[in-house]
Parts: sequence; C-alpha cells; structure tokens
Amino acid sequence: MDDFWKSDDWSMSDEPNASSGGSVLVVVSAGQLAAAKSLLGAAQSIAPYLGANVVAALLGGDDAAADELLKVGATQVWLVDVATSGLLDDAAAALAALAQQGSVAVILFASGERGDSLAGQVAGRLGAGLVVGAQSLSVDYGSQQVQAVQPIYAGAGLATWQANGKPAIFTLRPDIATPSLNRPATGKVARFDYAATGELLKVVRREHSPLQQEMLRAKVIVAGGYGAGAAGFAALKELAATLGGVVGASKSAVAAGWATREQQIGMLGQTVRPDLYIAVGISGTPEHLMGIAEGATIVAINSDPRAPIFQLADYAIVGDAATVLPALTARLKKLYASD
Amino acid sequence: MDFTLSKEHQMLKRSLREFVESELAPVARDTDLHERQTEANLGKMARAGMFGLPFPQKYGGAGMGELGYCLMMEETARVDSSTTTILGAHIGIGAMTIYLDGTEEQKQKYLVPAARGELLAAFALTEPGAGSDAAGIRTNAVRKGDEYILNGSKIWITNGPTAGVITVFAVTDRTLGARGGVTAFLVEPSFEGFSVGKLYDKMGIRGSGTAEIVMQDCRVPKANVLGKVGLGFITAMKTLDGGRLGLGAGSLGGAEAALEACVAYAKRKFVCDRGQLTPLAYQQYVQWVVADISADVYALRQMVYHCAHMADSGQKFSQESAIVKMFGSEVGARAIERVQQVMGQDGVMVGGNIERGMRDERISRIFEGTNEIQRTVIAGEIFKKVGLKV
Amino acid sequence: MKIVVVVNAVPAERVSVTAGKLDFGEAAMLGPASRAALYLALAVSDEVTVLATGELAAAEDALREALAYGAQRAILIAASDQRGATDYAARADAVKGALEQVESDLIICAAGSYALARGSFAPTGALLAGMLGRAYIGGVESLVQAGDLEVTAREGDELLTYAVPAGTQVVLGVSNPAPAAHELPWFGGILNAYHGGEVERQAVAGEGKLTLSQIGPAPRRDGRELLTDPAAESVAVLVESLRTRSLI
Repeated sequence: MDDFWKSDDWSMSDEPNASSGGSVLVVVSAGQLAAAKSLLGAAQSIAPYLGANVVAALLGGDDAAADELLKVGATQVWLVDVATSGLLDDAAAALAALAQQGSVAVILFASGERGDSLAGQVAGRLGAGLVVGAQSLSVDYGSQQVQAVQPIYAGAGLATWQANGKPAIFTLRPDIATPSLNRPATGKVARFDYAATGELLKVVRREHSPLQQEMLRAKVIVAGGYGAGAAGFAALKELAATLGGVVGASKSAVAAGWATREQQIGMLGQTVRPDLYIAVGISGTPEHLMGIAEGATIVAINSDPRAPIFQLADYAIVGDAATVLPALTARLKKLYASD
Repeated sequence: MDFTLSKEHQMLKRSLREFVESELAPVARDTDLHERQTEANLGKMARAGMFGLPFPQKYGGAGMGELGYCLMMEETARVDSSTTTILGAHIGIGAMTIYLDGTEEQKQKYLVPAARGELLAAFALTEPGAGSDAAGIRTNAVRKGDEYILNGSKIWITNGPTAGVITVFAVTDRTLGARGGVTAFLVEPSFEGFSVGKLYDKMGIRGSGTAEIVMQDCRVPKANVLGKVGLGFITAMKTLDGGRLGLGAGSLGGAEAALEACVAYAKRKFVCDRGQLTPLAYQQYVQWVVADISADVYALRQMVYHCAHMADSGQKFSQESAIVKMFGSEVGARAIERVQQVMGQDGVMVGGNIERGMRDERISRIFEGTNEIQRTVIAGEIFKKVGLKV
Repeated sequence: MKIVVVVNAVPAERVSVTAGKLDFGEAAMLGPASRAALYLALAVSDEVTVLATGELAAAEDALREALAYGAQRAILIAASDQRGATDYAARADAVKGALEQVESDLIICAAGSYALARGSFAPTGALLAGMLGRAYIGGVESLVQAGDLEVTAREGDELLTYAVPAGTQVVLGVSNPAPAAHELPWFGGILNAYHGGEVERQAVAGEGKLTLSQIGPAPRRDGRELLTDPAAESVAVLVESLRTRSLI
C-alpha cells in the first residue's frame, strides 16, 4: 500500500520509487500533537499529487512523541532541538536550515499566533510565499502547484491563492482536514542538529500575569447586542452564570450602557477564542464578528430573521430574547440538575 | 458645490466621535449624578487640545477654527450636554472675549493657559436685575488709582465655581448707558473682594457647575481692562455671536442622537399589530416622527456648518448665528420630546439617555440669549437692512 | 533611537443614519493594533517613521493620522492591486525594499488584521524579521528605554521582558490593542498633518510568490435549519445538540 503512494506515475524521474517532488514538511510543537493529526491529514491529501512524501519536524519533543507522529502518517520525523529564551527561540532558523537541506516543496504550520509568526519568519528566511489561516489545500492539476483557500474579511469572503514556486508555506486552521488514519509506524526518526548562530536575547523578568479579562480565557461566552435590551442583558447574565461562561457585548450595547468597555468584543474591543459563543440580539456586523476567532461554535438568537449573523452561526434561533433566554436557562438548569 | 468636510475636519470628527463614545458616553450618567466630570477625562480633553480648539496654535490652541469648534460641540452633545456646556462657556464666550479684544499680554497671560485647559474661563453679564435686558446691568466699576473697584453680583454664570478667569461686564459710566458706559474686566477669583456665591441646583446639565459671583469692593488692576473702557458692550455682543453658533451645534448633536436612538428603538422593538409581531417602525406615527426630525436635522446641519464657514472666513454672522441658536434649540426640543413619546415608558427611565437628554435640552432655549431675544436680534438685523431701527 | 512603525489602514467607521458620507467621507484610519504600535514608538523616541502599504487614498489618511499623533515622517508604498486580498510576503518584500532607504534601529509592525479570517494575525513583522535575519518578538505590550531597551511581550499567561542591547536590531509585533482607554491625538497635529505634513510616496514593488486565482464572497450557508418554532422546542433541540458535541 505504501509503495503505491510513493510511486511516481506523474513524474519524469528515473527512479520510480523516489519522491522527486520533494517533501511536504509539517511543523509540530511538542505541546500540539492534536493539531498534528489534522496537519498530517492535509499533507497527505496533497503529497501524492506533488509526488512528494510527508515528513514532520517536531520542535522540542522526544522519541515517544515522534512515534505518535509516525503513526499518523509521517514517513520521517526530524527531532529539532531548539534553544529557547522565553518565547524567542531558534526554531525559525533551524526550520529554514532543515528546509534548505532537503528539497521541501511545502511547509505546513498550525494557524495561531505562534504558528503564524513562526511561519512568517521561516517564509522570510526562505523567500517563500505564505498564506495564513488557510481553510483547505488542493493541487492544481495543470500547473502542479498547491492552491489554498483563505477566508478574508472576517469570513465574508474567500480568496484562492496559488503558489508560484517552491517552497510554499501555509498555516492551516487546525480543525480543517480529516485526520489521517492510524497505521503502524514504519518511518524513521532522526535528529536534526542545528548549530545556533548568534545569541538569543536575555529574559530579564518573567511575570505571571493571567489575562486580565476572564473573557480572553473563557471557553463559553454569552454576548449581548443592541437587540437584547436592558432586560435581555439581565437574562443573559443569568444564562452565562448557569453555563459557567462570561458575558460579552457588542459596541452598541456598550454605548447603551448595558455593558462595560472591557466586555466589548470586536474590532475596537477584544478578540476572543471561546469554544461556544452565544450571540443574543447581535446583528452581526463584520466589525463585531472579527473579534470571534475561528473555531468557535456560534449560536445566534435574534428576532430579525435577516440578521447577517445568521450567515455565520452554526445554530440559529429566531425569536425574542425575552422568551428564548429564560427557556434556555431553565432547560440547562434541568439538564445540569439531572447530571 | 462640494459640501463635504475637508479631510482634516473629517479626521477631527472621527477622533472626537471615538473619544466621545469610548470615554464620555459610559460615564455620562455619573457626570449627571455626581455633578462633575472625571479628572481623567478632563485631562484627556486638555491634552488633545479640546479646550482651545478654535484658537490659533500660537495662542496654545489647535487652530481648527469655528468649524472645528462646532464639530466638537456637536459630537460631545451627542452623549453629554454637560461637557458641551462647559466647553461652550469656556471657549465660546469665556476665552473668546480675550481672543477678540485682548492685548498681547492678556492673551499670553490668560488665553494661552485657557486654550491648554490649565485655566477655565467664564463670561459674566447677567444680573439679578438684568437678564434679557442686558443693557440694564448695575454692577459698577470705579477707577481708583491703578485699579478699578467693582461692586455687584452676577448670576447664572456657567463655570463660575471653578473658573480661573471671568470676563465681568460692569458699568463705568452710568450716564452713557450701554453705548459707551460698560467696560469688560478680566477678573481672577484670587482678587480681593471676589467670592463665589450660591451654587445652582439645576434641572439639567447638572455636570456643569453654575454659580452666582459676588464682588464687594473687588480690586481689579487696570491692566485687566479688556478692550477699551466704555466699549465693553460691543465685546459682549461680538462674542455672543460665536457662542450662539456653538450652542446651535450642540443642539444639532442632541437632535442627531435622539434621531438615531429613535431609529434603533423602532427597529428592535416589536409590537403586536393585527395579530402579528412587527417592528414598531411599521407604525406610521413613528415614521413621521423620524421623517420630521431628520428634515430638521438636515436643515440645522447645513445651517450650522454654513454659519461656521462664514465665521471662519471673516464675514459678519450675527443674524445667522441668532437663527442657528433659535432654530437649533427648537429643533432639539422637538426632537427629544417626540422621541420620548415614541419610546413610551422606555423614554422616561431615569438613567437612560433620553430622560437625561430631555432635562439637559430645556436650558438651550433659555440661556445665552433666550429665543425671544434671538428673534428680536434677527428681526432687528433684517429691519436694519431696510433702514428701520426697531 | 530611530524607529520605523509599519501600520495598517482600516476603513473608517460606517456612517450614521443622519450624516451620510458628507461628514466621514471614504477615509481610512489607523487600525487599533497600528495605533498601539505607534504609541509604543512615540513613547520612547522622537524619530519615528511610519510606513504603510495599500491603496493610495485609504492608506494616506491613515498616515496623516499617524503624523497627527506625532510621527515625524510618513511613507506610503504603492501596492499592486490585489483586488482585496493581501500577499503578505510581497508586502513584506516591498517594506524591506523601502527600508533600505530608511535608517532604523528598531522596527515595530502592527500585526492585527481586519482583512483576514477572524482572530488571525498579519504576519508582516515575522516575514520582515526572517528576510532581514533579525529576531522577532510577537505579542509586544510595552517598551521601555532603560539603558537597554526593555521589551515586554505576552506568552499565554506570562509576561516576559527581554533586554535588547543597543545595536541589536529586532522586529517587534504588536497585536493587542492596548486595553487602556483611548488616547486622542493633539488636534493641532491634525491641522499640521494636512497643512505642511508630507506623505512621501515610494513605488516599491514587492516580489510575490503567490498568485491570486480567485476571490469572491463566501458562499451562503444553506442547508442549516433556522429554528423558528416556539421557544421551548427550539431550545430543546439546541441543548440536545450542544450536549452531544460536549460544548455545554
């Protein structure tokens, strides 16, 4: 089975078993193995069309973690030891060196503040093209170049980019690809030794300072907009308390005095990353929506069936907050009581 | 004709809008309740140059002219009329007297710190016996050596309690009356014989301090005579022209805010109409209110900005500014009253913007020249053009 | 210390029902992260150059705003028309080209982005750091000049302060708009920015490694059900589904 994937029916190589398309390199940090599965899945969906094999670079991990990666589809894992000073490390330089050593066609990272900035530094060093936050990858049949679809303008639009050369770097939303199937680990694990050049900056102070607003750490957020009204805000505070979540607000609700500036979510407020976002009486302008990171499940409750938020929401209830919220709270209390 | 604001005024308006919505709006209710602004906000406004917005940069101002001043009044009045009043009295009539008629020394001593927000200015003309009949003031000033001794009291002085310099109008020659007998003086609260009297408890604009000031043998150095002795009334009238314009701009802001509140309310409030839940906006009365107010606002906006343009280009604008103040305050009154009716019970809740707006708005038809006086001024200007003195 | 701040322009607030375009025009303004980056620079230096790329009209207003806040020099790099989506590597390359003419001890990039997916960050600063071979510190929240330059950046729940010795060139990324309250520019600066302030234009094209093959609105999400039943039933369905997905 493996031989089939490695064969080069599409290439002009003399050696039918060699991967003349180079490799697709997936970069994973030790603490991010869950994301690795979907990145490797995405890698596997494009590697055959490029005639490439899938390799992984594990930053700061051990052999056990490397084995996990082999099981989910990497044919080779490079263990990259990086010298670190706080959040600065040699990873970018090391990865650039690794990419230049083998012929790497594509490098994949998990999208996020860390992944995007690491991908950016590597792309800068290699002079490569970069697409941030891509939601799907494919290979264009004619040119054999990788294509990525990228959401833009807070999800209102989609842009499709095509790489113009090698390597091309993409950061992917971690939940996009189907994770690859488990298989026996048959690949190799090797260390990539990299000699650090230059000194890392010194950390002179390290302060434990959890994000001031619990909203930025919250997994559940119940946010109210202008449509909620003062009465609606009282009800949604209760809902948030029942769910163990935090209350947020749109700009109009803050302007009306029902919430504080610290609770404002959106372009001029906070960017939040919850798992569950319940939007009550929020119409859904891009300026608000851009404050909700991708990956959240959005429940929208609004009395206007044509509100733009319904385009984005995963669950939509059309109704008045005054009736829906108490019903929802009561139902949840019943559910929790019976747990 | 291009009526778009220039780029710098657009940026000014945007910055003001952001500031007002993020800093003044959240504390507007507290400002009203506790009758004062927060130090933090006053500091920000001073650093931004709001206290001297129209004055040239060489006098410590921001140089944005009468138009910039009107934009500021409009934007602040959208959320907090008390702040608008403080700024209006300070810039529009207080510091403006010094800008129009002060000597270089007086400008350096008073106008520059006032523009920077280090000193608050006020304008004192009204007396217990002379309100609309301003020519009947009785506070007198007697020359004694190098000083003038002032005796009398002035009432309803905005910024009175905390002002650092007050332009006081006093009679220097009773026989000449208003034409040649009144002089303007720059009085500091530290002068001997000056005291702040009663603090007024007002229905609205409670965040702005208003007080009586009392002068009992108050000693004012002769260097503090503003303009020429005897020509104080002209200073007063000149200054009030610009002040009125600013107030009209304030009414514009209030009316716009009321209209936007009405539109938002009508959109989200659902009422049962013939068995179906529909937005309140479907009701004809509400649509007419919105249409009427928007017509008023459209007219007032053009009026305010056109008049500001006249002021900035050096033209005489007494008649126009009186119209702006009169029409503007009445537009504001109609707007807030009708919006409150549309919003029903929601409009009379204490702590809400509409209830506070209603209380704040009432004074605009009364102060800085009642609307009756404005009408007198307008008619007087018109008849003067055809040779009749009315 | 000469600082270059790379900023983003965002469209100015949409207009109200009363004003129309007369008062707000089609202008753009500095984005929240850009403004935060500019404040950091202005607090430690009085030789601040601001650089922006983008469509001429929009980015120029943002640069004038930067001049109004107190920057000394503003440079606009003409961008090739990307029809709404940005090739960040090309943009960083253009910035790098422009920087060859500008002396800088420190580069601060605004990493917030209005134009990407929700919650994403623009990688301009990271790309630039890679291209110039400099260290990149992202998530910067404050900057203090105390002998060495002290840069405080956030990593999760920790604030790390780095000492950057004089002479070491780094690139900083600012993504978090300061949670502190809004600071206004001095309004006199607005006047000066438009009368006398100069926005320099440079036509530096960045070399892009990507081609935009398609751009359009995201497809409508059809096929989901709008729950419009009386509250009790909709709520029951919702709770059931969220429970199955372990979200509640």
